[in-house]
Amino acid sequence: MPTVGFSMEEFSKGNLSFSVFDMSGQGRYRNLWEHYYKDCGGIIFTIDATDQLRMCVARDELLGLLDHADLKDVPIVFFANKMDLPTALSPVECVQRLELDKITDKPWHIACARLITQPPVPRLRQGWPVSGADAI
Amino acid sequence: MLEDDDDDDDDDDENVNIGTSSRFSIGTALATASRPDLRERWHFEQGLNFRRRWLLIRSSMGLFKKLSQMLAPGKKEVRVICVGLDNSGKSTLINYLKPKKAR
Repeated sequence: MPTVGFSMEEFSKGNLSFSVFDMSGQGRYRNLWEHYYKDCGGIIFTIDATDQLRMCVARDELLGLLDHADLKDVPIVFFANKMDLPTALSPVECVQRLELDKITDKPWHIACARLITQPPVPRLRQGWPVSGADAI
Repeated sequence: MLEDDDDDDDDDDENVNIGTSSRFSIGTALATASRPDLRERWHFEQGLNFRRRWLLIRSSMGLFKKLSQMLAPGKKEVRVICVGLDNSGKSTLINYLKPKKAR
């Protein structure tokens, strides 16, 4: 279910309490992003690694974010999501497509994620008869 | 025999899993991505150190702890903004990062 506007999550881990603004990614809400950049300690940027067509859209949004004055020296963590799907670009390809290697003024890191599809696989395996060749 | 197996596992260093139960694997954000000619040499020189560091992180630190340290060293409160195109998994990610009892 797509997020409308934004949703805020507050939780703490260890001795850190996080206020996470989960912004909507839909086109009409993307202009909201910049209003929350002030006093922000970090950015999480998720990438749909399977969506090669819109990689340039993501790059444009990223460029606007990188140039923003409120986000000077703010670290960015990229999550290349959906890595389990066969059409997904590798993290290195994501770096190239989004030209992340040109970011020199901010600390950044890219991580792979497969958030949706991993858990069901073992469950499927239990329920369906899987031949020896298919069971990886 | 066991040691040999370990070495083989570490060869695909782009997808090292942190912990067996974690749903994440960390991509090495290669600084040499734009220089394929340098990549092999970089791997050769960095490989050993890199693997040791990963093993250390793997054994001592969860992904979230690593994230927290990266975002705010020594800080108590932090504001994080999660952005990205629609259907790229922002809410799912936040839901995953939340402590289990808050979900």
